Amino acid sequence: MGKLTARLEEWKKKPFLLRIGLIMTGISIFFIFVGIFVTPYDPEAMDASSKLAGISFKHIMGCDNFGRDVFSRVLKGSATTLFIATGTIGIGITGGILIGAFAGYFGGVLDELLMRINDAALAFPSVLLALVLISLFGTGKYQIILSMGIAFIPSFARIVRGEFIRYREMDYVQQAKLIGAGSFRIMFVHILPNTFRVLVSSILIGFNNAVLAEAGLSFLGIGVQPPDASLGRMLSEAQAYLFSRPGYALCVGGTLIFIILGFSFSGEGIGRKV
Amino acid sequence: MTNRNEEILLEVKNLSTYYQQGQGLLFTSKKQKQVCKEISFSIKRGEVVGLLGESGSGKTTLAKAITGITRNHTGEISLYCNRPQMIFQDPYGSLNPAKKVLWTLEEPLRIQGNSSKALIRKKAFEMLEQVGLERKIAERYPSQLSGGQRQRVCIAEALMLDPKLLIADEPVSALDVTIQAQIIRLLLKLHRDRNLSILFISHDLRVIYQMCDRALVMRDGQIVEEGEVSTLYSHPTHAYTRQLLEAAGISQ
Amino acid sequence: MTLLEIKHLNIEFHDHLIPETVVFDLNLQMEEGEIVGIVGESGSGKTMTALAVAGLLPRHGMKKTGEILFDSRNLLFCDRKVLRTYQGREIAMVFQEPMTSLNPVKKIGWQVEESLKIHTDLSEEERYSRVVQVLQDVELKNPEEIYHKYPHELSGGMRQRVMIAAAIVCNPRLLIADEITTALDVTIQDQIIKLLLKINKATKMGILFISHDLSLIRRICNRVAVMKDGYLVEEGLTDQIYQNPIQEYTKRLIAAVPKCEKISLEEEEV
Repeated sequence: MGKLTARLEEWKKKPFLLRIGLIMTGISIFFIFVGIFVTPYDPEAMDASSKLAGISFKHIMGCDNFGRDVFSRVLKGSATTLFIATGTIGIGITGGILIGAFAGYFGGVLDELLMRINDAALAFPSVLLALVLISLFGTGKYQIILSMGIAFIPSFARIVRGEFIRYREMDYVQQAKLIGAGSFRIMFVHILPNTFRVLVSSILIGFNNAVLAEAGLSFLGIGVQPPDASLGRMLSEAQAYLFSRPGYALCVGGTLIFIILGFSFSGEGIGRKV
Repeated sequence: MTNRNEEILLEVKNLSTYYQQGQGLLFTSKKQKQVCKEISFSIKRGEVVGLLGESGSGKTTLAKAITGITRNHTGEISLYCNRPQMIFQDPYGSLNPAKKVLWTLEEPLRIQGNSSKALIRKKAFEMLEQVGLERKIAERYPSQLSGGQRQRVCIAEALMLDPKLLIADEPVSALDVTIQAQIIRLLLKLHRDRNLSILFISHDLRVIYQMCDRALVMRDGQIVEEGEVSTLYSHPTHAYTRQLLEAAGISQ
Repeated sequence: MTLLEIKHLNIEFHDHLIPETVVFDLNLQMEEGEIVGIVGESGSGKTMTALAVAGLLPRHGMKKTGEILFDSRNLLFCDRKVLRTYQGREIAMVFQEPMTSLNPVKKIGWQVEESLKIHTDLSEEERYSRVVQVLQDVELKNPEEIYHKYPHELSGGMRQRVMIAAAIVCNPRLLIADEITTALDVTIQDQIIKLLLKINKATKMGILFISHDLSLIRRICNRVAVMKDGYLVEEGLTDQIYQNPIQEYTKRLIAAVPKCEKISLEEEEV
């Protein structure tokens, strides 16, 4: 009992934004996780009789132009979107940490070289860069992850580099050199954990961008291919019925906004704790 | 005993250190600024040597050159012992905030890699005791410690590798006076118990007097005067030393 | 005549979940032209007291009770507008860090002149000559040249002199000096202390000198208040406190000041 109240106290101490964000993200993840195993209907099952059906108890988000249950498809689509976003951020952050750490820690010519390439890459909007890469790798879930992941590396690299430059002159890093720690150990064991707070916050913000970018690419028709559902793909389909059945687009768009706000509030909240 | 004490641990000959201005890449030229100018001195085993000087005199640069943190120098630094360890001025910057005290203490031996885990841990706790800290401190993060406690942890970490020479760069300047006195006593105790040589860097003339056998007075990268503390303070020969003594209100 | 009277001052922070009291029931009195020191270690509440007197404590997130009487007006609760007529004109403050307390993009002259512009109706020429005069008063060489310089062109000691000049330009009756020599070298420290003593003698300006350094306090202050953890531990004439400290903490503090004596470890273990 005492433990529970202590937990509650700790929870109350967190910034308001972080609490709201975590609750929203928790709800999203819960539904998406359940959706992997069960959905009210088969997301791909078409039912001609309920084409573009409105919101009802039977179909809580209505049906699409093929008579597929929108809620089931939103669950599946969110899972796909989230999977792609996670993969993208995974690649982006790994690449970003590697490049940023080397550039920031060693500095000098290596830094100049890596950062000029980085700047060139940053000069393109990441979605545009992803488009170029997709044209190289082709479309499909995994190709998208790879393309977007690479496109996301530069922004992370910049953040990590900044952090490493900040920490490399700290006395504890000098101390680590004195006790004989090698450069790799200093970079990844001594310095990296200190960047976690900034990293977590930028991962959450990056996550948002990835969700949006995936939605954007799918909306343009070069993202996830049918019959796979993704939020962006569904939005693009819903566009045609925006006036005849606005509920379709609103439900899909609302879900997207809910997920993104959850992550952004968490990211902001964590950032604010500093 | 005297014979052993005559043994020289560190000898610095004509040391000049340089500081690089500008990145020195394709279009910008490298500019070298000399910080320490032709410095020579030596430290014997078991000796506490003070290095006096004001900001910008090159004290810290000299310390970093001796420990090998920076390598941009000419002249000779001959060490006749294992690698000297260093204690820094700011106890808030010299401990890794992401690591617990125990981890920090174990790290030097872990890097050396020739002791067992249990042995390292045992030594870490012994060291904690030697610097006058309780065992429970081991599980804390630096942010949960006071300035004095942090400085003790730094001293413990520096001593984990049993250095023969310790370089203390303004180790008490950032601390409150009552804590200052404790840390000075701790350093003196460690000096006595382990026959540890200390190069004690400070701008505080009184602290230098308390701690050191011999002192070097540094100004603008040069050693302007050197001698036994008692004679240096009672009969300063260089005008700058006299000025320092007067400013500090020490007249003898 | 009494210049400043602090009565039952309490300062409590409310920006965390648990309120934190930083000053407890502080009473302190200062005569016109007197130099009073507040000495204490970090966290003793000395800076908070100084900020309270200068009217620089935030208006929200904290609870303040008591009185800070200046011209028989309680500065602690007076209107922002009234407070402004005192700040800079009657009460001025100099901070510890000479590197950050000057605005890096403004010329020295502009920064010293600022409070003249706010508080007086002097013409431009009069202001200029007053600024040059005050720069000379703080013993800066070539004041006309300094007038046109930027902070980064000056050394730490010179900047601190500029800060003092900016503080005394309106001839305030109270100067609050918060650890103003801590960031400086000993030789410069010595000069700044001598300067403050000279200004005090010439203008009868009261100085509230806050420091952790007892040897400095001893050199400059007539009276001293010792603070610890928000409490006033002991207060009295400086020499008296040094020779016969009553409280245990004061004794410890005085004993801890490094002296030119060798330490013998035998007497007690560390």
